[in-house]
Amino acid sequence: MTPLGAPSPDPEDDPTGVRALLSSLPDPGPMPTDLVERIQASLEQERVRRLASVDAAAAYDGADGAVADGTATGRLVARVGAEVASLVPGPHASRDRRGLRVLATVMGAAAAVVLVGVLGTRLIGLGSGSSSSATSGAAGSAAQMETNGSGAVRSPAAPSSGAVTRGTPSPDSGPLHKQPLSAQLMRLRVSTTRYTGAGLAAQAATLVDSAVAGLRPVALTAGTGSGLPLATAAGLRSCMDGLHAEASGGATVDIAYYDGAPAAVLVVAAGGRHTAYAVGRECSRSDPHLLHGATPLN
Amino acid sequence: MSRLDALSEFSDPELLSAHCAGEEAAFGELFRRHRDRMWAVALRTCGDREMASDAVQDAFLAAFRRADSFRGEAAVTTWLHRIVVNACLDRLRRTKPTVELPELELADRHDDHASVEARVDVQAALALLPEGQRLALTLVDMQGLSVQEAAEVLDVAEGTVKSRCGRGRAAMAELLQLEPGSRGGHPVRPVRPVRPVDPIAPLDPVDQAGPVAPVGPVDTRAEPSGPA
Repeated sequence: MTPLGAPSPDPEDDPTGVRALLSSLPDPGPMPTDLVERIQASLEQERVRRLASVDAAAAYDGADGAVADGTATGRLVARVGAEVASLVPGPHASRDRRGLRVLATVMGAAAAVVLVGVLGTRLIGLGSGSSSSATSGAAGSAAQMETNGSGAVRSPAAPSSGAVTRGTPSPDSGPLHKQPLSAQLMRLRVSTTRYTGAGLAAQAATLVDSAVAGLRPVALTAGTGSGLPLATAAGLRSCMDGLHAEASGGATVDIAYYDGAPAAVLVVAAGGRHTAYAVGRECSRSDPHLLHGATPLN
Repeated sequence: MSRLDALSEFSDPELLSAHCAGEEAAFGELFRRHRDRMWAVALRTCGDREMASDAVQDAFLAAFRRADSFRGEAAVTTWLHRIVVNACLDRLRRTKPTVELPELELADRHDDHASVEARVDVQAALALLPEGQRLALTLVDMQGLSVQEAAEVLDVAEGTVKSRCGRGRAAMAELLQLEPGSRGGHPVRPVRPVRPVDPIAPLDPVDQAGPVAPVGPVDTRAEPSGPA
């Protein structure tokens, strides 16, 4: 009998011999080749479907550098894009992958055309002025518009009264009119760094060094395979806009963890100073998902 | 160094983060590393190749979509195990048996193909256990997970896993007519047919209802009551 307080017997001890018997059974062997191929095909289908929805979100990218993703416009496009993408037939072994990509791209463009039509109708209904201003201002105005359809998209940046601003860009869309930060000044890292509130300044300081291991340029567009907007130039700009962060000297984003949860840490440079932010990975202009506010590094 | 070569040097958590950041090949590398092990888990949990194939595909798709939910506190393999086990249980619970189980005749230990037959015996006996015990033995004894890892996979307390393992081993020993103290050998006594259609009451029906208060290990050192 085990005395009180003494360590319990080895839990692995098994006088029945069953454990040894079970562990001696031969391994089932590698996953069958046909199953490997089948799963790889389904993962590829999933990747294409994600690309289609992200591409649709980025499809409406106005001449003034307006970023569709993250704004109410972008979310509406993404929703339309998602609905369009869901029409893509489910995975079949004989499906032509190239045809799927073409189909997804065409549907993404169609979604953009639908969106312009919807927004144009709304602007005309609001009496917002000439068609030229309606078109060019659509990206900004859409951020303030409340849709009242079944797929209501409400921009958090809209005034609390819910009033619709007619054609006048809100202060929140101010960065849209500035020269966007060049993608060449943006860097991305993917790490498993577990940032904390108390340690953010010290931990993020390592990102100031452009020679730190693992840094690489961000993807230029959403269409180059990214599933996370923050990993693209457009997405990073959108996030910095949401933070109202000045980054004329460059920006570095580290996809990592903050306080144990998936997050991203941004270090932006301006005027010789560096500032760190911790945000959720869905950070965008309309909702930066701020986890830890501006932290000066130097 | 090619991109794929670079990815092969990433740790599992780094691969998941890279996948979340949009690195296209990252999840493929993760799949390549762990597919055989997850296939083994699925096959041993489902007991049926077709079902295991569907379940493991469901699991990897779920992992692909929900990679962002990985919080980095447990090992990626533990996280994958949980997804695979849950996918298998979903499939198992959706499928109702359509045929009666055949009478089960356990092998003569003198047979030339004793090792194969013994595997069939063991699998058949495992299939008779309550789900909780079968899963615990599959993860701990067959897959080699620690009790702690198995508890994380099954989302139960460690004591529950230990209890289920103890009861499951005792039940298996009874079903396989193992001599007390035997270590990994085949059944040492001539065995009698086991007829699952003639119900063998689950040794722990309470186990099916969910976690129970932990009990002490089953004492298997009692004198055998039957003939030697």
